[in-house]
Amino acid sequence: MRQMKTASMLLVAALALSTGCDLLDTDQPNIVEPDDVESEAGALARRDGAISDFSFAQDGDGTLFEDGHILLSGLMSDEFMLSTTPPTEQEVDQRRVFDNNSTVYDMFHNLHRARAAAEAAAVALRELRAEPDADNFIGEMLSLAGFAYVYFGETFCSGVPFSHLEGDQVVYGEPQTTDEMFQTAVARFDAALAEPGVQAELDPESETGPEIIYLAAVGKGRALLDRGLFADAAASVVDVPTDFQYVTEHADSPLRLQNAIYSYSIGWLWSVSDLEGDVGLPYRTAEDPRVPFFDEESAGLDNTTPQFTLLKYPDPSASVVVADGIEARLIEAEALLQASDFGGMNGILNTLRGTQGLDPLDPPGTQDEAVDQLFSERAFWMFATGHRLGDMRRLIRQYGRTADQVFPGGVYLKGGSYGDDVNIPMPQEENNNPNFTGCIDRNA
Amino acid sequence: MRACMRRWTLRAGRCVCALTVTAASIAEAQQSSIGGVVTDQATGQALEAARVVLIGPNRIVGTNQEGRYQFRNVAPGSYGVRVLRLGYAPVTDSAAVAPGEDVTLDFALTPAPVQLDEIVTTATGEQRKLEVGNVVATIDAARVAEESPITEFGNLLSGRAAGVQVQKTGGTTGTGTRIRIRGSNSVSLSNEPLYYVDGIRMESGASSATLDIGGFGQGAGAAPSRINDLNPEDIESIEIVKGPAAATLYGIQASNGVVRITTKKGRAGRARWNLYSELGAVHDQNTYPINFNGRDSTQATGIDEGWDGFCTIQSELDGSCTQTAVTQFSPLDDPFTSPLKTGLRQQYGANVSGGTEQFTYYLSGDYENEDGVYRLPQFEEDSVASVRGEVPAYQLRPNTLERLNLRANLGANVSADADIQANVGYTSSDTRFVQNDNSFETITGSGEASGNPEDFNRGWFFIPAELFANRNTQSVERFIGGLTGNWRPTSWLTTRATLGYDVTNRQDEQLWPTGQVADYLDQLRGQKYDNRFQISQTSVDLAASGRFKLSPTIGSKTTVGGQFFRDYASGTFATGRVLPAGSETITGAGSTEARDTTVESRSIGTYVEEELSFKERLYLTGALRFDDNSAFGKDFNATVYPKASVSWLVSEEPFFGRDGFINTLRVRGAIGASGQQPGTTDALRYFTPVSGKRGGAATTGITFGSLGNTELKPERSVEFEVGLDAAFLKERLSLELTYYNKRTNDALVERNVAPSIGASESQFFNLGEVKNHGFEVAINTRVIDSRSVAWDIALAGSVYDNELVELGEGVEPIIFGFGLQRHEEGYPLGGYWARPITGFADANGNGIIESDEVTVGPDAVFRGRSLPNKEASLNSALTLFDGRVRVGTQFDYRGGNYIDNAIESFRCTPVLNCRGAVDKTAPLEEQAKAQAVLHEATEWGYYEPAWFIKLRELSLTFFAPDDWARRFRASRLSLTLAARNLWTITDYTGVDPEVNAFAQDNFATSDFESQPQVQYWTARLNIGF
Repeated sequence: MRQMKTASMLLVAALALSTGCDLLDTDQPNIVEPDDVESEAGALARRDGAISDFSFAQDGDGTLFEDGHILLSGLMSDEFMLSTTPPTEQEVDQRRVFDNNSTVYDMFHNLHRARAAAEAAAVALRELRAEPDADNFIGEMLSLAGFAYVYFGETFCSGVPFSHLEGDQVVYGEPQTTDEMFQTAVARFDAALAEPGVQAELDPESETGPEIIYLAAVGKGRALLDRGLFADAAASVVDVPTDFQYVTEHADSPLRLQNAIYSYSIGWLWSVSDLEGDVGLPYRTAEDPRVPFFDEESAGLDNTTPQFTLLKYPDPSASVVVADGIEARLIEAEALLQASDFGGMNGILNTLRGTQGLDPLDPPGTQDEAVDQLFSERAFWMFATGHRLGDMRRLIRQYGRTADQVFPGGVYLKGGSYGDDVNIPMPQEENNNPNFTGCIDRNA
Repeated sequence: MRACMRRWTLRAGRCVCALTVTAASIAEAQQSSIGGVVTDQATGQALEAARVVLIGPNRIVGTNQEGRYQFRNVAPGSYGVRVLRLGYAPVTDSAAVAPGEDVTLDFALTPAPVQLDEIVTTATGEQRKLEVGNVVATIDAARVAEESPITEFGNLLSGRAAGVQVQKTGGTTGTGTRIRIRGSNSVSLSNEPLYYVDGIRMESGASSATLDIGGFGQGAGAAPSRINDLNPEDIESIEIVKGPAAATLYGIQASNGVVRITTKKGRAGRARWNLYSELGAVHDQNTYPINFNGRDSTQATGIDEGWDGFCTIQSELDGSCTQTAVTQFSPLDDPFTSPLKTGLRQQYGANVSGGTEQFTYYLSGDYENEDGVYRLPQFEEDSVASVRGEVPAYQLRPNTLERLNLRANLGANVSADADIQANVGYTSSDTRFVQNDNSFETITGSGEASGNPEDFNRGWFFIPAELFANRNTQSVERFIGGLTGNWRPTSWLTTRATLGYDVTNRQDEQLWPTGQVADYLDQLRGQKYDNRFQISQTSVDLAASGRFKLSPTIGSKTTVGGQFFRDYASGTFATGRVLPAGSETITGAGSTEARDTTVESRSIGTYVEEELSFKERLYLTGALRFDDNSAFGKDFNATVYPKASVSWLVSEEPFFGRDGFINTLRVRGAIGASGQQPGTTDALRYFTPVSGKRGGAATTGITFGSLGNTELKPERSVEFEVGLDAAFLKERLSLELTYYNKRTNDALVERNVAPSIGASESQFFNLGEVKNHGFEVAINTRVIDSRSVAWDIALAGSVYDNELVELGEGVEPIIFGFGLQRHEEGYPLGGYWARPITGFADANGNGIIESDEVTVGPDAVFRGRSLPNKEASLNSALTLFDGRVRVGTQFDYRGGNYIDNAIESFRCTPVLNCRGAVDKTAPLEEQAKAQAVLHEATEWGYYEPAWFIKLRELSLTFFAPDDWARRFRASRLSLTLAARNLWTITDYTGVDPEVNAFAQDNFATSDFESQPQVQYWTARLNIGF
């Protein structure tokens, strides 16, 4: 009898453990599973996510953990001095970047995330929406992807691979040369322009007007400029009005949406340069309203670098220009420069300056003076928008300047000297791509 | 799902009730009994807390306060009865029991200096240690807590078991502890052991904080460990099961070893009261690095002039200045500016235990209050007081701990065959932290890595008054409750059911009061973070063991069991920025932000174990465990972990002469497998929600979260160990020697993903193989054993080698810790790598090492391991004056590893206030290291050997004569004076080679703006009634 009781008790225990319920089922509300976004709403969520990713990759965010493209490319150029301490950022400022640089990894990775998210969102918008051509969303995604290729080409060395996912499979990309990256960018902008939803912007009853058409046009013009196709570039932007702007938008909250260029400036991490390394532009001494700054009369967070705080972005919600009509005019001016029409170029520049109440510039007398004038104007107009490093490389690549004439050199403020980098190497983590071969070319 | 859980819980509950009720009915059919009294042979005093084993059924009971024990419901037959007690030689006797007979069997024990045999708790129940085929380290926690400078649970483990490394990662009050048993086995998963308290799984999260208080990696540098929530005063003993060979039956997360904690229980007898009071001082004995500042008196000086007057060696070489003076100052060391002052520690507690044969109880309460070493310097206190009227307590003493612990352990013998034990612990604590271990607002960083000269801000970057105005607090309310029922329905069958629930409510709160903190980022306008979490672990453990005699010489024990665990954590994060002056709430903040998180994991496992014994001297054990977990990929079902072990008591053999040089000898061996599960969502491909803004409106989108891997399965560690235990010289010296070899296969490697995919940074794969093998030795001896003097020495040590055998085909080395540490095939996990300094020479004879006078290799090479692979501890207890005085010491050695003196590197560049970068009279090697990091960005010169020997503990306990105690109407009275971290020997040129700015990170290790270990001086009074 006792054994029966024993056995029955054990049976109860065993049953308790082997109920029909699946005891291993859990809820994971932190995540969104792919099956849950295979819908029109899911496609729209991917689009919003892609815009957010692009903004984060370009501008960074208020957490101050990962530097955006504008901040880091500006650091390598003559725009900013590093007034904080992390050695990985100092490598970039000092133009001596190693491939194990975690800050560079973050920018490289975030740019690829933004690029891949935009491309995937474009596909999702096409496949999952009932009326994919009813608006310009697909064209916007393709344009943002195009800008990501431009940023890669202007910032990194030649040889950047572009991989993607096909279902569950990773398709590893082959390395692209610098020019191939700009070609891909042009292809994305062309695809955007060809989208029916984008073409519909030309309809007078369009709610947005030709917003994405202009965005893609300026992007294409920038990429063509990078390729040295100056006349084509000018042709691309001819219809873009000077007051056009496409911006990344920011907010006070959450931190993810804060403008990090503001945060890094107000936090005394980045300081506005002046004649950096002897050859940099006089961003401070020019006292130009296009580069507003404040002399803190103190050293930055590194206790070494004088702190001059950029005021261009006055608060954490300040928007950042991705493409605008001013850039369109500057592209046209450069085409005139290439045609040796220095007067025409000077005229465009002075017209733009007039909008800010700036004194007109004298017409340049020589090609060199014209180049200096144009690139200086570009630098001031587009300060802290992620254009300057690409321009400095173009000065070497397209205008015959040497790296020493363009990039800061000599004694580095915090000791030692500047290095020789004119672009940023790719992070070693890319070695996990079997097709990766490293930098094909470290020249401009 | 929740409905399912409720049904399951109800069924389990009914099961337990049924067990209890049925036990009562079966209790009526009692059989015979064996009982008696255990006494000290020399004094005749009754011995409580002896463990009495009924050999055969392997039933184990303890003696009560009168030394009495009793086995009821014993089947007729012949039995051996063995008595074990700490400090006495084991004794075995036998008795024949007739039906209905009550046999009396008394024991008189003789003192023995060392003892190999004791009772340990295994996954299947209590067992003699000598029957277990693997080594189990046991710590007499009750005694250690009473006589040693123990301020937290981690201190109980430190230096008391071979192969167990306890690293307190900083000297800030409340800082957590990194614990490794037999090294690190897992490339990417946790290497912390599992913890069980009274048989239930305990939440033991490392780096348990979301506070922004500095630090790198997985958590804040000074983040606490949840294991330190336990009150050391409530712990009876700790057993450490060291690896898969022993931990197989603990299942899917046990490959890093298991720490089993047993709290104190009541024993039948009168109520016994214990009161204690401890007062102490927390003192910073460290010397901090000097800040060197080169000056050029010919140039303007001062901040307003852009620091033009400062002149380093390199800037003089560059021709931009001429050094005319070098100043030396450390605001952390200067008595006027230093915020490092002695803190007060106090602890008060009481416990009472007792009961009857049917009901026992242990009740305790403990209050603890500790001020860390930080206090506002007097001149700043005066300054703040002049502005605000009074200095708030949080600003005056920014690093404090206040903790209340309550415990109730109740036991009931509901019948002759069944008992129930309920154990409930409650903890309430508030800890205030300062920032350290990397941030611009660290107190140590502001003092040693600021570059500020003495004449600016009194040498501080941010002054302590600003930094201490930042309030960082963690509040914890924790309940750990367990209910265990044992039922012995027949003489051959024992069953056990344990239900456990451990829930922690944690609030991490951070406030930058408007206008009071450092002018850094936007904090001066006020910010508040309020993050609240509930973290729980539910455990259910069921087991049944049957014992049979297969023949007169062969015994069999078969155990089946099953366990269910649920880990659940949910939390909300709330932030308010821009606060009105005087506000301490998020309400009314200029901008607010909120998010939440929920993580849940479940695992279920069953096992069967068969143990065979031959003539009570050879024990063979084999077992299988089956496990599944919610975190595995959808293509995975369950895994099987086997184990086998043998224990041979050679000295029990007739041929063994026990009276010779060797008195006890057993050899043992074990092999077993265990696992480690991936993270809850590691197997899944998913998106994560992300906020955005477009067209002036807020948007919500999704961004790629993780690639996932549907084929994930557990990481599997297989270990074998062999060893021997021996006692020599009439049981005056014991030796435990163990060799182990552990291989982790299918290692879950969080490999970097090519960033060009544009997906997650990493992805888990079962790829790698890790090997750990080493030796452990533990020697206990009584060097002097006379009536008036006894000197016991315990030496424990280990050495091991760790190697990443395979990382996976095509997987690049995993680089982390700011690019300085690597997981690379053929090398120890997490080793330090850098481009080497291959030489330096003052070629031009100017007494200065210039950049071209240092040569650096082109590629990074291995410098050394980052975790110690050698450790030893020497514990000594000298008893004098007939036991009236006991002097205890503990020396703690660790070595074989390097540490990155990152703070010195950082001071050399970019801060430029280290001697090697500033002082032209600095040794050439120091200059060479500074030049190498400045010009070649190599950390090589700052990787330093991290070996140390510390006088970790020193204590003196005076046991008052009985008549002294009686004057206080007490039964015993003792006073202990103790100190911790008294003395360090090391070659490390930094402050403390034991700290870690990465807190309890898996591998990343660095000395960066960390608070070194501090000294504790305590006086403790114990009174027993």
